[in-house]
Amino acid sequence: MNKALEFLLLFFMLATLVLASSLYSKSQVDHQSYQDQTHLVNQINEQAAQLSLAIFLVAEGERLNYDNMTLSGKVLKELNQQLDLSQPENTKLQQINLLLIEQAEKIKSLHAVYHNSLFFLPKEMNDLQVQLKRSNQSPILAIQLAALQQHLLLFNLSPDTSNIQGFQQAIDTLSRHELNLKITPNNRLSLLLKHAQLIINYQQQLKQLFQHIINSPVATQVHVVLTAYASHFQASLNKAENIKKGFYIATLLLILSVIWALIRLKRALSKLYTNERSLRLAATVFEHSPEGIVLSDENNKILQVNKAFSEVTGYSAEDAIGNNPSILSSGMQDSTFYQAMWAEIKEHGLWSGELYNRRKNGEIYPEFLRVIAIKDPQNRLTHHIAIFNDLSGQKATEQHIHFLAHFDPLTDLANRSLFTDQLKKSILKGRKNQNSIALLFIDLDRFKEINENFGHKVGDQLLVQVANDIKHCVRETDSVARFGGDEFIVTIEEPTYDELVLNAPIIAEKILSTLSQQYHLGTAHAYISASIGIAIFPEDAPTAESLLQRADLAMHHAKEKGKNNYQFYSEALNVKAKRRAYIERELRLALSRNQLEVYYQPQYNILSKQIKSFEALLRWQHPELGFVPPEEFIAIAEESGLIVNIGLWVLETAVKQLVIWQKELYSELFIAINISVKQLETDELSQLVKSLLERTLLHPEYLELEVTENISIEDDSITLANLYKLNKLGVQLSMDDFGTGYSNMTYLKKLPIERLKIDRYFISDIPHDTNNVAIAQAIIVMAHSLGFSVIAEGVETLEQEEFLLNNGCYMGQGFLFSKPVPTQKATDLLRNEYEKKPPQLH
Amino acid sequence: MIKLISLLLLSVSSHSIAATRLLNEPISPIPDAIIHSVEQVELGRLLFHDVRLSENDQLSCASCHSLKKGGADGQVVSSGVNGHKGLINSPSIFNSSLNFRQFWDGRADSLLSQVDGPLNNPLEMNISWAGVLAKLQQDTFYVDLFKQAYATGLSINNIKAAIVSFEESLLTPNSRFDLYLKNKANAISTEELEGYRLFKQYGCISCHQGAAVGGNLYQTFGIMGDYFADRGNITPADLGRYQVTHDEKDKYVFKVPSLRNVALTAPYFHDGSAKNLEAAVEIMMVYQLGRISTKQDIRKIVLFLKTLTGQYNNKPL
Repeated sequence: MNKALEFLLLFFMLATLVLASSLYSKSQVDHQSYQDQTHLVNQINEQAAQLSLAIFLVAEGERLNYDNMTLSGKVLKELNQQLDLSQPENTKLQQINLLLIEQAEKIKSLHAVYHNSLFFLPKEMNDLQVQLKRSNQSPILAIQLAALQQHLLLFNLSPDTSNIQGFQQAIDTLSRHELNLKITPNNRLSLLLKHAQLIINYQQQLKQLFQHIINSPVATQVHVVLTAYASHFQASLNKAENIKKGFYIATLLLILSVIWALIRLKRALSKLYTNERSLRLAATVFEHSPEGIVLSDENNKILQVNKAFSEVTGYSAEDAIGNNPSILSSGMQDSTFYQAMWAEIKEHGLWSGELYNRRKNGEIYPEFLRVIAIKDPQNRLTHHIAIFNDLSGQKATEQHIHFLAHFDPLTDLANRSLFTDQLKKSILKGRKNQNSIALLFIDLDRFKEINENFGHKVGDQLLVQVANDIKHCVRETDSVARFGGDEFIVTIEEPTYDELVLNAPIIAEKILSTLSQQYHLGTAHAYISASIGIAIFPEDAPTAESLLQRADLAMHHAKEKGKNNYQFYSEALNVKAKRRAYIERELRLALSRNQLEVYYQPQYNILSKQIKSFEALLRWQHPELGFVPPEEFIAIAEESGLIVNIGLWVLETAVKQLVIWQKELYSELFIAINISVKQLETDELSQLVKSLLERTLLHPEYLELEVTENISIEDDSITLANLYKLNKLGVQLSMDDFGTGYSNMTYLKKLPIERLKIDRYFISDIPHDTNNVAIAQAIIVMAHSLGFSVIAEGVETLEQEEFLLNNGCYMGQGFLFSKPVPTQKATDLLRNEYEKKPPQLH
Repeated sequence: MIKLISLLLLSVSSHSIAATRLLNEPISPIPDAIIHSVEQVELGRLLFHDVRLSENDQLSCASCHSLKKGGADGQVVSSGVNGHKGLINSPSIFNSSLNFRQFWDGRADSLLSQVDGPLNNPLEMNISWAGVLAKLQQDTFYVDLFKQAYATGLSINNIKAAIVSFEESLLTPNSRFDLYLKNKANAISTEELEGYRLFKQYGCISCHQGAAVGGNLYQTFGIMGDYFADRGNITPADLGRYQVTHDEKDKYVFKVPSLRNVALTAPYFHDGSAKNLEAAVEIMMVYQLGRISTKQDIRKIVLFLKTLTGQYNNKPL
C-alpha cells in the first residue's frame, strides 16, 4: 500500500464528506418562511380591504370620526414595512399600499372640509333667504339664491357634469351680483359662495380619490405576489429534490470509501499491524458523517454508532452498544418485511429502502436505510453496516403536497378527486358487504349573488363557515367533501337500505336548518339556503359516476321545487328530464309555427280603477302539450338562450299593439315588457329598442322594461351599460319581483330604475300575514324615499287593495281587476274604459 | 324570502352598532393607559426628566413638555440649549400616542422615530445618542435599572424604548366630557353642553373628532381665508408639511392638533399666536370655518373645551 494511494483515499473521503454535508444543508426547504410570507401578504390584502371599508364608511357617514380609518392605515403601513423587498413584486405591492395610505390621508383632509360645508350651506342659504325676505331689499338676489338652493339640491342628489355646471353657473351669477351690491348682508353672501365653490372643488377631488381607492390594484398585486411565492416555493422544492439525489450519491460514495477503509483497517488489524493514521481517518469520517451509521457484528450486536445516529434516534453510544438495532423498531413494519430484508442482505450483501423507526422519546420517524453486509476474504459474514437518513422533513413536504392534491385548501375538506376515489372504494366495499350508501349533493342557493355583491373574499369566508357547519351536522362515520364552487357532498353509509332512508333525510334536514342561520361576514350579514339532492346506492345507480349524476339531478329537482329543500332521486325525475328536452326542441320551432302569443294584464290605478298600462305576458299553446305553463317554458328558454329571440318578438309585438291602442283608444296608455337577464347581456339590445321606437314612432316614456333582481351589476358589465343606454333613450326601467332577490341599497342606487314592483308573494295573505304586511310596508316606504314609484302585483282581494291605498301604493295588477287576456279581450277592456268617457287625470 | 327581505332592510339601515352605553358622538372617550412593564415606564419617566439628555446637561424632555403645564411649556416657541429660540410651539406630550403622526408637520410616523428629533436638533437638545449613552453608562444607578427593565441592559435602543413606554402611559382619561360620553348626564353643565352643540354646529367637529378630538388627520391652515398673509412675516415653520414633501399642495398643511387638555396649553397654534382659547376659536371661525360667530357662542365653545381636561394618575391635570 503506497502512501500516495492512501493520501488519495483520505482526500476522497474528506471531499465526499464535505460534499454530502453541503448538499444536505442545501436540500432543506424553508417551509416556515414560505408560510410566513404568504400569511403576511394575505394580512396585507385583508388590511387594505379594511382601510377601503373604513374610507367607505366615513364617506357614507356611517362613521362619525376618522379614528378607524387612521388605525387601519397605521396597521397596513406596519405590515407593509415587513415585506421582503428583494422580490420586485413585493416592492410594487409596497408602493401600491403606500399610495393607498397617502390617498386615505388626503381623503380625510378633503372630506372634513367638504362635509362641513355641505352641512353648513343649506341651512345658511335658508337663513339668508329669510333675512332677505324680511328686509325685502333685493328680490333678484332672493331669486338667484333660490336658484342656487335648487342647484345644490340637484348636485347633492346626483353630482354629474350637468348638475355641477348648473351649480357652478348659479354660484357665478350670484358672485357677479354680489360684486354689484353694496347692501348687507354682503359678507355673509360671499362666505356662502366660498363654501359653495369649495363644495364643487372638493367634491371633484374626492370623487377622483374614491375612484382611485376603488380601482386600487392591491388585490391584483397580492395575487401576483402569491403566485410568484408559490412558483418560487415549487422551484425550490424541485431544486431540493435534485440536490437530495446528489446527496444520496455523495453519501453512497462516502459509504463506499468508509467500507473500503474499514476493510483495509480489518486487513491491517489481521496483520496485527495498524496504520494508525488510516484508522483515525476512518473514525473521523464515521463520526462526522451526516447520516446515522451503525456498525454491528455478525450477530447484529451493535459495536459502534456515530454522532448522527444519536442525534436522530436519541440513543447515546452507551445506550446502543451491545444492543440489537431492533430497539429502534416502531412496529409499523411486520415480520415479513424484516424477513425479506434479511434474505436480501444474505443474498446480495445489500438492502436499501424506506421504513419507520421509533426514537428514544417514542416518536416515530421515517428513514431511508441501507444495510451492507461486510465479509472477510473467505466470504464469511463479519459485520453489518447500517446507514440511514431521517426523512421526517421530506415526509412533511410530501404530506403537504398530498394534502394539496387531495384536500381543498380553503375549507380543509376532501376535494373532488379524493372524494371520487373514496366513493369508488366505498362502492366496491358496499358491493361486497351489501352496504347502502347515500350521496347528499348540496348546492348553495344564490351563492353567486353573494359573491357578486360582497366580493369573492366574503364568498370564501362564507364557504369556510358553511363547510364547518356541514361538518357539525354529520356523524363521525359520514364524510364531507367540497365538490367545487358552492357544491358540497355528504356521503352516508349504512348497513341496510331502511336505515339509510331513515337517516339521510334527518341529516339533510339538519343541514338545511343549520345553513339558514344568519351568517356574519365581516360587517355584512347574509342569509343563505341550500338545495340537496339525495341518491342511493345501489337502488338509484350502480357506479360512482352514475350515483353522483343522480344526486346532482335530484339536487336540481330540489332547486326547481323552490330551493331550500331536499329531494330524493326517483325515476319520475327521468321522465321530467325527458319532457324538458322535448320542450326545448319544440320551443325552437314555436315562433315560426305561430304557437306563441302575447297576453296582456292590466296595470290599473287602484283609486280610479282605470287601466293605465298593460304588462305583456308570453303564452304558448302547443298542439300536443296543450297550454304549457310559462314558468316551465320560460325557464327553459332562459337556460337555452332562446329567450333572446323570443324576447325581441314579444317586444316588437307588444310595442306595435300599444301604438294601435294609443291611436285608437287611449293615447296615454303604457306598456310593461319583461326583459330577460340573457337579453340584457347582448350588446345590441339598446340599438334594437331604439330602432323599434323609431319605426313605430312610440314616445319612449310609454315603454317600461321590467328587469329582475338577479342581473349583474358589476361596473364593467354589459348589463349595466345596457341599462344606462336604455335609460338614456328615455325608456322607463322597473325592478320586477322586488324583494325575492338580493337587492341592497347600493345595488338600487347603482341602477337607473324608476319603479319597484312588489312581488306577489308579499301581497298574498295581506292583511292576515303580519310579516308580509311589514315587508310590503317597508318596500313602499323605501321606494318612496329613494324616489321610485311602486306597483303591487298579485292583487286578488279588496282587502289587499285597501291595504295598498292606505300605505301609499296606488298602482296594482292582479286577478281582482283582470287576469292576463288575449289582444282582442284587452282591446275590449280598453274600449269599455275609454271610448265613452274622456281620460281623467291620473 | 322573508329572510332575504330582512337582509335587505338590514343593509338599508345603518350598520348595527354593538351594544354599549356610550353616546354615539363623533368624539369618543380616551381609553385607560395599558402598561406592559412598570419598570420600563418608570425608567422612561426618569429619562424624560433627566437633563443629561442634552448638551451640557441644560435641558430635559420635560423642559418643553412639562407634566405640570399640560404636557407643554406655556411659551410661544420653546427654548433650546444655550438659550436658542426654537421655531415652533411645543405640542403637548399628553395623549401623544393617540396622534396619527408626530410633530406639527407629521414628519415622524411613531413616537419612537419622534424621539430623535428634538434630541439631535441643534436648537433644542443638541446631543447624539452616543453622547447620551456615554453619560448614562457612568451612572451605575441607570445601569442597574436598565438591567432590571430590559434583558439587553443599557443601550441606545432601550433608552428610546423606555422613553416611548413612558410617553405611551401619558393618557388622560376621565375628563368631565368623557364622563358625559359614558352617559353620566350630570358630568357637564347645560351651558357646556350647549358649547358642545355649537362646536358641532359651527363645524369645529369636522376636524376635531375621535378619541383625541383631532390628531388623526392633516388640514390646510387657511381654507376660508389667507391666515398667513393676514398675519405676515412668514417663517419656514409656517410652510408645515411642505417642508417634508416639497409638494405645493402641502403648503400650510399641518397635523390637526388634539384638543384634549387644551385649556392648559396656551398659547395656541404652531406659531403660538393665540394667547387664549377665545382668540384661538375666533381665528378658527374666520380662517378654517368661514363662519360669522358671536362672542357668546365662542364663550360657550370655550366652556366646552375646558371640559376636555382629563386626569393623569387618577388626579385632575
